Parts: sequence; C-alpha cells; structure tokens
Amino acid sequence: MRPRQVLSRGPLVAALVVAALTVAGCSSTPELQGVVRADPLEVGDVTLPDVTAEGRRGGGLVEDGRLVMRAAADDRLLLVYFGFLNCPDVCPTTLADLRSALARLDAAQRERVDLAFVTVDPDRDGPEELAAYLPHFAPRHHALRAEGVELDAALDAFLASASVEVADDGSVDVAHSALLYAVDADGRVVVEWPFGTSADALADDLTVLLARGAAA
Amino acid sequence: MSRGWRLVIAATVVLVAAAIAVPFLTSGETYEVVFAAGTDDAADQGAVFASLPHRRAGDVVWLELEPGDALLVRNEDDVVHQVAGVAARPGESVLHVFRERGVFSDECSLDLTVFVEVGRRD
Repeated sequence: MRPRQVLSRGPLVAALVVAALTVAGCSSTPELQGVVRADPLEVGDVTLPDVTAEGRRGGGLVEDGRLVMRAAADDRLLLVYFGFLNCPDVCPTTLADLRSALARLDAAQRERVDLAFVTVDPDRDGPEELAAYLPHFAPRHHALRAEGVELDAALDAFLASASVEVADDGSVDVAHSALLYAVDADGRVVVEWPFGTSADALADDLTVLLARGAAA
Repeated sequence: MSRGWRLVIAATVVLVAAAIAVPFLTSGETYEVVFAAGTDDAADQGAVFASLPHRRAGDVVWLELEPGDALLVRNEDDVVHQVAGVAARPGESVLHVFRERGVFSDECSLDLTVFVEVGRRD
C-alpha cells in the first residue's frame, strides 16, 4: 500500500492559532479618533498644586496638595486640559464637548474619569474663580494652578504652549494650545484630542480607553 | 525544516502583512508636512505645504482632507513643531488619521493658524 502523506498536527494547530490571534487582533482593537503617537509622552513625574475647592475634588492622585499626572488606577483615566477662565471660545467649547461626552457614558464609566484643568493665566484665575467655573463642566475635578518655571515644565511635558501678554492699556492677551489629553496609570499620554474633536468622538474614545484599562 | 512548518511560516507572514496593510488600504491619502532642520531658525522659509491640498489667507491655512485621510508630521528640526494639534518632538514623526468630519485647529508652531477641514472637498 502506498503510504499517504499527511502533515503532522503540530503545524496545523499552530497555523490555526496564528490565524485566530491575527483575526482577533484586527477585530478587537477599535481605532481611536484622537492622536495616538507610537512613542507616548511620559508625564507621570509632573505634579502641580491642586487648589480644588472643598468637596469638589475628583478622584485623581493628590500627594502633599499636588496632583500627580497619572490616573489613580489602571481602570481610571486622567484628562488634562490647559486653559483659562476668560477664554471666550476654545476653552468653554472644549469643556462643553467633554461634558457632553461624559454624559454619553454610563455612571460607572463616568466615575472613572478625572478632569484636571491647568490654568495658564494664574494671575487672574484664583482658587475662587476656578471653583465658580469648573463645576459647570465637571462637578468633580482638579483645579491646578502654578506659575513660572513650574507651569512651563508642565506645558513642556505635554508639548503644549501658553503665553500671557499684558498691553499698556491693561488688556490681557492669552494664547495657548488647545488639546485635551488622556493619561493612564503609568503616566503615559494615551491619546491627544485636537480642538474640534466632537463630543461623540470623545465619548467613543473614552469608552474604548476605559474598557482597555479595566481589562489591564 | 518540514513542509508543514514552512507552510506555517508562510501563512504567518501573509496574515501579519495583511493585518498591517489593511488599515492603510482602507484609509485615504496621507499628506506629509516636513519641518526641515533649521526651520525654527529660518521661520520665513516655512514648512513644506506644497504637497497638501490647502488654501491660505493671510496667516490662516486651510488643509482640506477627506475622512480617512492622514496627516504625517515629520519633524527634522531641533524644537517641537505642530500642525493643527498634531505635535512632533525633534526627530519624531506622528501620523494621525482624521476619521470624522469636522474642523480641527490650533496655532501652528510657525505663527500660522492651521485649520484641518475634513469632509468639505467636492
């Protein structure tokens, strides 16, 4: 009898495993709509003074009165935004979109997201002003206020920029980059949302990131 | 090496290549903005926008993309540069696919305001 040529089962099983893993890898990684860089920014060493009003403080990591730029746990996210309270358009638009995005999440998801607002205009944005402004967008949050090199170092870590110029007539011109950042528990910026990202896109990305964190 | 294992290796190569290629095949155009070395020092030379569909009015630049198009910011300079919120460190290239329609903006690092308008082209 002529022997029948057969493949051993080992390679066949290995091929099926490779195929399954590849297909699973393709289908189980939803694309984020924000900017995701191959080499994420590392901001976990940055800390800033937390001046949040009593009873309003979010669930972020606060050590010695300073918020650490890391999510407080693997299944949480820290969102960071650099802005100022007299901003007429970009800041309130971004924060309103974030508020809408958070409203699209369920309560358990929402509870795992902390917002840190870093004022780039600390001379005018004091703790009282921040306390009056931020609850309109996030009932619980972290109001961060630093000046000079300390603020500059935080901006640099996020590749962000800001400048405040006071004219002779006393008018104040503030310029700042307008991204919203999501930071994980390792202090990595896992996504950066440019100004103009819709509330729906934010909500979709937050849902994906929270699911990843919970699975970690 | 047995024929079976050669098949496994070939199948692996094909599947991995497909996994890598599919996202690119299904997306749109990729437009590259290069900040050449010395751009910051010689800001008047500006970035290379020649290959992008764009309009410019004064210090405002409109890049017109379609959903699925990508912006690749390649920074060969020694300072951070950014276009419409896509920032690249010195020596870094950052690829961002604009998946949703809308207008995305931020001040460019060359004192231009850049709007990326996604989904407007006829």
